[in-house]
Amino acid sequence: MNPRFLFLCGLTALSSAFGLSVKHERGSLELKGPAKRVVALEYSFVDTLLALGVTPVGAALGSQGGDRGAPPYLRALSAKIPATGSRAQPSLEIMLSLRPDLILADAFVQGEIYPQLAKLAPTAAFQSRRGSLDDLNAQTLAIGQLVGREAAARQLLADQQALMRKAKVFSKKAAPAFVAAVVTPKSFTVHSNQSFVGSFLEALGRKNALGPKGDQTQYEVSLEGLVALNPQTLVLFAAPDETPITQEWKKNPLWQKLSAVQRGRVYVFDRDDWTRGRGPLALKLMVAQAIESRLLQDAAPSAAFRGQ
Amino acid sequence: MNRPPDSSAPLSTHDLKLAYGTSVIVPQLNLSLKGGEVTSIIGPNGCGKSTLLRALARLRPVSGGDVQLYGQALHSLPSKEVARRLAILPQGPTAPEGLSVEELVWFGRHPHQGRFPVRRPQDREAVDWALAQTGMTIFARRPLEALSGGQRQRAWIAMSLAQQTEILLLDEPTTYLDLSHQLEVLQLAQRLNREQGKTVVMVLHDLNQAVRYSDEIIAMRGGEIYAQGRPDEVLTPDLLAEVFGLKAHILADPDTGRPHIIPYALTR
Amino acid sequence: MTTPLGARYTNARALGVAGVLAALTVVLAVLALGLGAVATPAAQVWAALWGGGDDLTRQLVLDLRLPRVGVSLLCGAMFAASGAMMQGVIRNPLASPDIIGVGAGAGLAATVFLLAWPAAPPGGLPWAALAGAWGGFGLVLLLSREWRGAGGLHPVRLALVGVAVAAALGAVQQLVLVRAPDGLGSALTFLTGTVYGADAGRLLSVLPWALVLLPAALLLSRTLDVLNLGEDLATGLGTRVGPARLLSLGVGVALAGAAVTGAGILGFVGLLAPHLARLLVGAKHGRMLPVSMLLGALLVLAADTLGRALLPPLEVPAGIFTTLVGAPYFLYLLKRTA
Repeated sequence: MNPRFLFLCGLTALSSAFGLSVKHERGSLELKGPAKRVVALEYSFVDTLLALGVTPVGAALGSQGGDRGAPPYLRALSAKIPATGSRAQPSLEIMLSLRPDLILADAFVQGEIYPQLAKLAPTAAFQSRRGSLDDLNAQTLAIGQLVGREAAARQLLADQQALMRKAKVFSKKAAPAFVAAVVTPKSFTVHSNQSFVGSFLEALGRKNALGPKGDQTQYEVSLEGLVALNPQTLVLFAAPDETPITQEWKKNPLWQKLSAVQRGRVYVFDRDDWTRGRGPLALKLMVAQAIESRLLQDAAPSAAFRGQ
Repeated sequence: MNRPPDSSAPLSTHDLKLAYGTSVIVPQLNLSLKGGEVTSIIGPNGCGKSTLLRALARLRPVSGGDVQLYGQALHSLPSKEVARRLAILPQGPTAPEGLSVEELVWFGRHPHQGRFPVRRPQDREAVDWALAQTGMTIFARRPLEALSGGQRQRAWIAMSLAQQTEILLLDEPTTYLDLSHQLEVLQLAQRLNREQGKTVVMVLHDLNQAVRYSDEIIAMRGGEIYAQGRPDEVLTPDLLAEVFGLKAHILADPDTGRPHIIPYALTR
Repeated sequence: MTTPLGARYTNARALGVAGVLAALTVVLAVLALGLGAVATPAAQVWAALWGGGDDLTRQLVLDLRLPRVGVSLLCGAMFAASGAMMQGVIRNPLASPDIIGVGAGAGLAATVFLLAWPAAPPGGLPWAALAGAWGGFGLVLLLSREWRGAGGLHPVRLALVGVAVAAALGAVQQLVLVRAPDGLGSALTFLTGTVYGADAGRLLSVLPWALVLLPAALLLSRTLDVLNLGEDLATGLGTRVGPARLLSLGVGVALAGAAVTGAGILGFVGLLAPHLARLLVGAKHGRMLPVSMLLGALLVLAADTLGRALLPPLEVPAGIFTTLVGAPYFLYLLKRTA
């Protein structure tokens, strides 16, 4: 038994003795002791809990309506977690039957049903969907406190910092700025330096060409708009089961004129892994892929990240 | 021109002006109807006869002057009170599907009932009486759709009768009916006048029917009253030429001695 | 051809139909209490209703399912009554709360509310929708009123303006949604019409509306009958058509607005239920309104129960089922009237 584990046990015991109080978007939550049976209603919460070594007793992993289910990297890890339906309308009955002592909810998507959730179990609401990298890191700490693993959470964050510092070394100094965009069959949405993935890549040492437009951290851009930006590097987030709109654009001579295309600096990542996970596990994977794809080095992408 | 209100006339108009937007249908009309008689308004299409009848029943707004009910301005009276004294059957009425004759006739009691549809004995009596007067008692439970055109028109008249008013206005009550049903309706109107003393005012197209079943004829042209009086006074060759643009033989009806018109040419 | 000698639609028949529908509703309500994502044996449900049973079943049945059944029934009845009244006033079988700006107004207001005030306290959304419903109706009223002359409220004009305003508000909503961030779409599931998340609080906020407005609708049934004869006959029978139409429409909009706060915009219930009611008991509102309320209640309860029990733990919004049934029927009606 290593000493850190003993220390952790001691800390847990301490917080159980005094009860704990954690601030969240709807006030602060008082728990008599660390939560053991947790229901997670957003993928980032599932990711964070698993990273902390806590398996949720239920999670909104359904694939109804706009939901695409758990991101690929989380699929195997979450396969045994009972599903509580969709994120927009999680089944209150299933949640009740799971007898949770904590529910983690998104402050926006589940904002309207917060009172109903709070009736089932103590519920903490965080800005996951609309959160930045800093917000999500703060949530990791808060969730760590709620489940009595604050030390582990601090460790996760410290490890993440160290990893990102190491990755930053790979980044080519003075590499041209990139444009990052989520591509779906219908849209091309750029993510500015204030968005989650946009700010993450900047934290790794590459410059994002775009800032927010007004109060929008992400916004749609047409092919003409993209040509006008003419980025030297293009980072695309696509789903393997969809045909992104860029497939259509590739047939257009304008696309071929893009500097990034001519330089061969178009990188493609899995959009579910990169934009829907948003937890410590996802971030670890993202750092690894940023290096592996040779995006940080500003070198031609390796085979796995070239897209179709 | 201001005349004192005529409180003996069931309906009278004073400098009545009727217009649709800017197009004036009736510029200035003064009229006094005789009580206890059958009056028919005749005239060519567009002369304003239906418009006038509708104004007499407050179904359309007046642009100037007023209509008086026994000397009281119509628009100043509560609509429900008017409905207890004056019934109107508009042209081509339609009822919701599935209504039975009796249910339709009950609507005639609406002006007599309060907020809550309590069916008092006198309402029941009025409905039964209206059905009997129109010969519709045996059809009381039939849906309207299952009736012939004439029967249906009698059902509507029965509804108006159930209002138990002194005055009954009928707007082209014979339109779309075959000849025997037309006579059925006109005879009913005449009988109601003779037996119940009702004042009946109709808009009619058929001149000979108007002559035969009316005590008084009002001939209209271009929104004005061209002539008003007994059928044999009003229906002259001059009037037929001036109002209808017709050349006609006028014979004496062998039955009634009233004029019978046989048009043979147009004047223009 | 045989012509029916007796009346097709009688009070006796209406009573019979209403009795059968009420019985069906009770049966379905009991069934709905036993169905859901978590299996509950009938005996346990029964025991829970009488205060016994285990803790979980009691909570499932009394805290989660009972309020949902109640809200479904009330909102279904209110949507149906609203549609029936609007069809009566506008004298158009295609009229429904959706066509008079109510649905579109509620939709736009809910969208703007979520976007402009993301940190709003929960429970605010239904009230935004209610305000939007009245706003949409007010706009339609304003644009369709004839200011000159008698100031009448012309049914055809009302319907046409209603369609135009609904389209315009819908377009504005699309415009707003295009700029919306991720997650707004799922927050707007409410607009599809859903009884999801209905609790005792929601039931208690809908109940007073229902207790006042449903009887008010029934009280207006004779006025609606007279209006249904057309403007001329109604005037001839001593009804002041303008105020009577306004009053009936007002009650109709209030019904739809209150129902929206309980269950979002349940598509086509206001169209479907009155139509079926008319087929069953004829057009007289005294018979048609109560039957249509029962049908609406039954329809929404069935849709919500199906939505809960079909693909657990997924919740299929009740509005999807009512629209699935209603939209083809609407098209059929359009074709028949054209």
